[in-house]
Amino acid sequence: MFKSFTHYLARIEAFLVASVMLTISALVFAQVLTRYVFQYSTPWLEELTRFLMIWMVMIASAYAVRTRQHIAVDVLETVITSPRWATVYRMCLSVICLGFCLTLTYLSYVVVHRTVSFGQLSGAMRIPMYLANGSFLLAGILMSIHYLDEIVRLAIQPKSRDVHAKGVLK
Amino acid sequence: MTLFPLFLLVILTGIPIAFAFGVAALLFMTFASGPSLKFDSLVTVAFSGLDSFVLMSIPFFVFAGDLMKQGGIVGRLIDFSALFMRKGRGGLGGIAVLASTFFGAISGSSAASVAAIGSSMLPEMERQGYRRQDAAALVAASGYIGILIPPSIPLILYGLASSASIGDLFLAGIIPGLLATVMFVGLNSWIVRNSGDQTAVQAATKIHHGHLRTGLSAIPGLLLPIIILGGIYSGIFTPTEAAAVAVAYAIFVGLFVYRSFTLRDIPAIALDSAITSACIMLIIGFSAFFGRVMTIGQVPAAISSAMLGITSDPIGLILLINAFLLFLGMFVETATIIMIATPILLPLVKSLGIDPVHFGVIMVVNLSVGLITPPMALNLFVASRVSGVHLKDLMRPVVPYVIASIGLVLIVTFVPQLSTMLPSMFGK
Repeated sequence: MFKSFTHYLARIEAFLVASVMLTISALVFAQVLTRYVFQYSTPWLEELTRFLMIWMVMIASAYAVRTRQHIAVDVLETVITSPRWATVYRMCLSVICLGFCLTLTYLSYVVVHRTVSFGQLSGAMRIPMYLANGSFLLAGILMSIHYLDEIVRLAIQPKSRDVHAKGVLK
Repeated sequence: MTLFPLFLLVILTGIPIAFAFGVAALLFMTFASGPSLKFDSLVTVAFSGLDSFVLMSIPFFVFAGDLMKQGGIVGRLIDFSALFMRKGRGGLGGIAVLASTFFGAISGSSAASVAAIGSSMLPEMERQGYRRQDAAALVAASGYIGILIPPSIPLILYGLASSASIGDLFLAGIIPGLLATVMFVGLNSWIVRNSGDQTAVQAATKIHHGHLRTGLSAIPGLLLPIIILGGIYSGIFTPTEAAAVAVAYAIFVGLFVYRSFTLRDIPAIALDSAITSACIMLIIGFSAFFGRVMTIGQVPAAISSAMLGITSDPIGLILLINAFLLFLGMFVETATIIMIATPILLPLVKSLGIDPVHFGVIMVVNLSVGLITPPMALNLFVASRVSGVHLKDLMRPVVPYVIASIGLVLIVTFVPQLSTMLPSMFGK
């Protein structure tokens, strides 16, 4: 149940990430055209692309938790040869990361809550700031879900090969 | 001062480096009494670290490079390189070095270059008599030429951290990059000649006959760096806009000139590029927070005065800085070092009268050596993965390239003209 839920969650993340990547490419390209072909400058467009990029980075980070693509130093992983200890080690890592992601979620909540109650607006578009920094809150939640899922899967099927695969959506 | 060791310790556990920045800084804030910073600045500082239009050039350059690779540029570049390497010993190795250089002008990352050139060239090199580990070491070393030749993600990161002009940094990397190319071509033919294995020598001299037509078809791809640099330098667009234009151009070439992918393939490439760049950018975001904690804890000042305590002689000091960067490069990943070492070292370097653009090249060359020196040697990891040679068997064959690269570090450091000539020629 939970496993297929996170699987679909990751597919939604992938869809969003690819869409935003294509959108910001198109927007910035359009910006070059409008400025030089039509002599028309759009300051709010730059802010929009920056915020979209942050959303893309944060959601992609959640997806990369699922596919284990985050850059890390894997010296210990190569040193540990026993499959059993490898699983224990992975479990410990996931617990530490879960701890960090929950902290991130909490701190993001504090920040988002503050910008909501102060009614803080963005510089150029004058939209509420939580529409931008809400990305950290969502990413914190999504990453926590993926780490929780990894812990559950390591506990249920510690030797399964797909739990150990990198860079693929399981 | 405990912040730095703490960070290295957290990194070594194997958690994602981006998180390690956050964990180390938060632990430091919890247990050290010094810094007076609110915990939620983890979010606000990381957010403003990411909220940069210049930073957006990274996903775009990665995307443009990936599109070109999917568009079949690698094989064309190899055939194109073969047109220059018809004569001379060890031709295939030379072709691999040259192709890495050209690929570097399209892609901004060294690991991508090792993977692309390695997977296409290694089987052929082995068939023609190269020992597999020699070929893999050559490709691993040549890979870093890609981050000296523009576009270059490490140079963009340095530009962000130092506020030096990215356009100038791009131009500054060209001559040192070409110097590395010449050195590696020479080194390869010297190694082939001295290998004593006559079959290897004869086979390797029997050059891969470049196909003229496919070779020349690399030219539309090779226009990409000209568009990027020309556009930035004529003031038509900013580096980020240049990167977006590069994406549009790469889509155009892939769809209509090379016809190697269709519109339906683009979202999958976009996803891959977005993930690759997001992993770098998350590091940048959290490293900004770490940097803030570091500055408040006065770590940069402490490290500067520690260095000045060892020697105050300018040449001694610059050698010490190089040694420090080489050392960091052996243990820590490139983007991480640039984000934390630039604010530490830049004030010191400026006081020595070194130009920030020149120092950017010095730093990236140093970190390039780190890409082929274990334990944290990204290019060797990738070369080992694409060649199937065990990492420990790459240690010996890579030694000559490491020595040559350290030579390159010294040349780039003490001949500032190599880096500053092009930026000053094209005016500021």
